[in-house]
Amino acid sequence: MSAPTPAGGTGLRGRVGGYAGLLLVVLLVAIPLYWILISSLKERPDIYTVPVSWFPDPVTGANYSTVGTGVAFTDYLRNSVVITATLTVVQVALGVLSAFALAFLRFPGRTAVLLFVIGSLMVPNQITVISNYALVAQLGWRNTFAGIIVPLAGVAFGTFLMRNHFLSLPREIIEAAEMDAAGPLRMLWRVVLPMSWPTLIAFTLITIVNEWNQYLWPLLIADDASVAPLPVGLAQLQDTQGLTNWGPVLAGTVLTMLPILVIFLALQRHMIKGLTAGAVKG
Amino acid sequence: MAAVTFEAATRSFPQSDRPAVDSLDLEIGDGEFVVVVGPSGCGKSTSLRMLAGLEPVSSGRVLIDGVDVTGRRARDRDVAMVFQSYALYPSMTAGENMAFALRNLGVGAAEIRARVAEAARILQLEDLLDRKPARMSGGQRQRVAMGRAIVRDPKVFCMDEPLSNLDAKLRVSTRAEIAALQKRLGTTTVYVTHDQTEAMTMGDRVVVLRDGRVQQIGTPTELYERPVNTFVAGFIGSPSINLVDGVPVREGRAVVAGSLQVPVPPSGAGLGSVTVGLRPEGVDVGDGPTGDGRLVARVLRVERTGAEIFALVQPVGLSDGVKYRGDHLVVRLDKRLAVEEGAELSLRVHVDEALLFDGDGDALR
Ligand SMILES: Nc1ncnc2c1ncn2[C@@H]1O[C@H](COP(=O)(O)OP(=O)(O)OP(=O)(O)O)[C@@H](O)[C@H]1O
Ligand SMILES: [Mg+2]
Repeated sequence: MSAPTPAGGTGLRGRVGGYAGLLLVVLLVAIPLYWILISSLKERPDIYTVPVSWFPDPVTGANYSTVGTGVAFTDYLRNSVVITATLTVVQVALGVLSAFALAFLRFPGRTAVLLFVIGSLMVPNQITVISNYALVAQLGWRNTFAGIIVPLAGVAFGTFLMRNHFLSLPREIIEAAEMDAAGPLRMLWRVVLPMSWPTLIAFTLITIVNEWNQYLWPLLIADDASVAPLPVGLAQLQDTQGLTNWGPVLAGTVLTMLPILVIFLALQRHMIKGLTAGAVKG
Repeated sequence: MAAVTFEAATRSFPQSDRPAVDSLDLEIGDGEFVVVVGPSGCGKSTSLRMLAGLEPVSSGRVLIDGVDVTGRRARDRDVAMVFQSYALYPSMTAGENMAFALRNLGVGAAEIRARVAEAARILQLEDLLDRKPARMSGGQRQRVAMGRAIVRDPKVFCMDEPLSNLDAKLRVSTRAEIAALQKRLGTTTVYVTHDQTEAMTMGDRVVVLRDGRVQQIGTPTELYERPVNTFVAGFIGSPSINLVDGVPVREGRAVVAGSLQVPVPPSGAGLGSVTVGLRPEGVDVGDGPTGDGRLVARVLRVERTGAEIFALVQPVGLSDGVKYRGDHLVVRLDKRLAVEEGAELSLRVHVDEALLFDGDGDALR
C-alpha cells in the first residue's frame, strides 16, 4: 500500500479532510438511494410534505402492492431476466472470445479488426437507433425478444477491456501453455481465464447492470408486456393515472434495483486480486 | 533425444538497427549440455526462444535431428522450456502443472499418473503435488518448473536462467542437481545464463555471446585457457583476468617489465605492442626457481574469502607505455600468507600461463 503522501504520516488535518471528502461522496450516492427507499414506504401524502421527513411514518407496503396490481410486474420482471441473461451470456462469451483472438492469435488484419472495434466504441448508440429500427421492422422483429436482443448484442467495450487485461498477463505463462501444446480453447479455459476472474466478473457485472437498465431501445421495439423489460414497465406505471404517482414508481424502482444488488453482492467478493500469485518470480 | 543445429540463425527486431542474434552457427550433439553465456542483452534468450519456437527466425535455419523446424510452431517441436520466471499455471496444483502438457497431448490417465509420480520422485516433489504455486517457496517452484519439462520427455530442454531467482546457496546445490539430472536423462539441453560460474561448472560446452555474435564455442577448459579474444578472457573466470595493454614487443618478447617478459608466438611477429592477460592465480609470492617472470607490486587492498586471499595490487617498474585496465591488478594468494595493505610483494609470474592478444583483442597463438 502506498499513499501519495510523504512517509512519516499525514497531518491530522489532511486525514480529516480526506475523510470529509469520502463522507461527501458517500452522501452524494447514498442520499438519493435512501430517499427512494423511504419514499417507497411512505403513504402518498407523506411523500410531498415540507419540511421533508427522513423516516416513513407510518410505514406502509401499499405502494408495493400497487406495483403488483397496477402493471404486469411479473411479466416485466420475466422479460428483463430473459433479455439481461441472454445479452450477458452472449456479450461475455463474444467479448472473451474476440479479446482472446485479438490478444493471442496471430492472423492477418488483426490490427485492423482492433481498430474497427475501438472505432465502434466511438459511435453513440443514438446514431444507430434509426437504421437499426428500420432493419428490425423490416425483419418483422418488432415486439419480439430477438428484435430487442440482437441489435444490443454488440460487444466492443468488453472486447477492448478483456483484450487489454489479457495482454497484461505474464507473457511467459502463455508461452508455457503454447509449448505445452494447449490448443486455443484449452489455453483460454485452463490458463487464461483462471487468471482473469476479477476482470471478467467486473465485465459481467457492468454488462448485467447495463442491460438490466436498457430503456430506449426496448421502448421502441416492445409494444406490450409480452417482451418489454422492467424500465419500460416502470415508465408505464408513471403515467397510468395521468399524473405521476411517485409512491408506486419508487417502489417499482426499489424492486428493479433489488436483483442487481443481490447479484452485485454475490459477485463482488470474487473480484479479488492476486490470481497470478506464485506463477512468476521467485 | 536429439541433435540441434543452428544454421546462420538470425533474429532482427523491427525497431533496432542490428540483429539481436546475428547469424548464429551452432551444432549441438545428441545428449549434450550446452550453456549459452554472455552479458545482459547479448541475445541469449532470443537464441533459446528461436530454438523453442517462441521467436521467429528472420533468416537462417534451426534444425532438430536434421529436420528443419524453422517454420514450425512451438508445440510441434517437442521442446520443453524452463522459464526464468518459472511461468507456472497459478490455478493448477504442482501435479496438474506437470500433467498439463501430457493431457494436451492425449496421453492416457494411468500413464500421466505414472510419469508425474516419477518426475516428482526424481525432484523430491511428492509432498507438494497437491499444492498450488502461490504456497510454494522459490526453490520448490523451480523444481515444479523442471518437473513440467521432464515429464514430457522432450527431444530438447531449453532453460532460460532457471536459477536466477534462487538465493546463492540454493543456486549452487540446484546447479549440481540439474547437471546430474541431465546426465541421467541424457536429454539434449541448451541452458542460458549470464553467470560464468554456472557456465563453467554445468556445460559440456559453452557458447559465449556478445552483441548477438558468437565469440567462442568450446569446453570450459578451452575457454578458460585458450580464449579467442580479450572479451572471452575477461568474461570467463572470477575474479576477471588482468589485462595489460600497450606492452612493447622487443626481440620476440613482450616486455611487461624488465623482469617480466612473455615470448610472443609467431603469429604476433611484427607487432609493436600486444595485450597481455594474467590470471589472478597465475602468480606466486616469493622467490623460486628462475625462468619465471617477476614483478614487484604494492598491495592496495586485501580481500579474504576464507579459502583464499585476493590482493588488489599496483605493479611497479612497468615498461614505458604499459597500462593495465582498471586501477589495479588482482592476484590470488594462499590464505596462510600474511599480507598487509601497503606492503610490497615480490611476485613470481607463470609466464607460460600468460595470454597474449593483438591490438584488436584477438588471441595470439
Ligand atoms: N521484443 C523485442 N523487441 C525489440 N528488441 C528486443 C525484443 N526482445 C529483445 N530485444 C533486444 O534483443 C537483444 C537481445 O535480447 P535478449 O533478451 O535475447 O538478451 P539476453 O541475452 O537474454 O539478456 P538478459 O541476460 O538480460 O536476459 C537486446 O538488445 C534486446 O534489447
Ligand atoms: Mg534473457
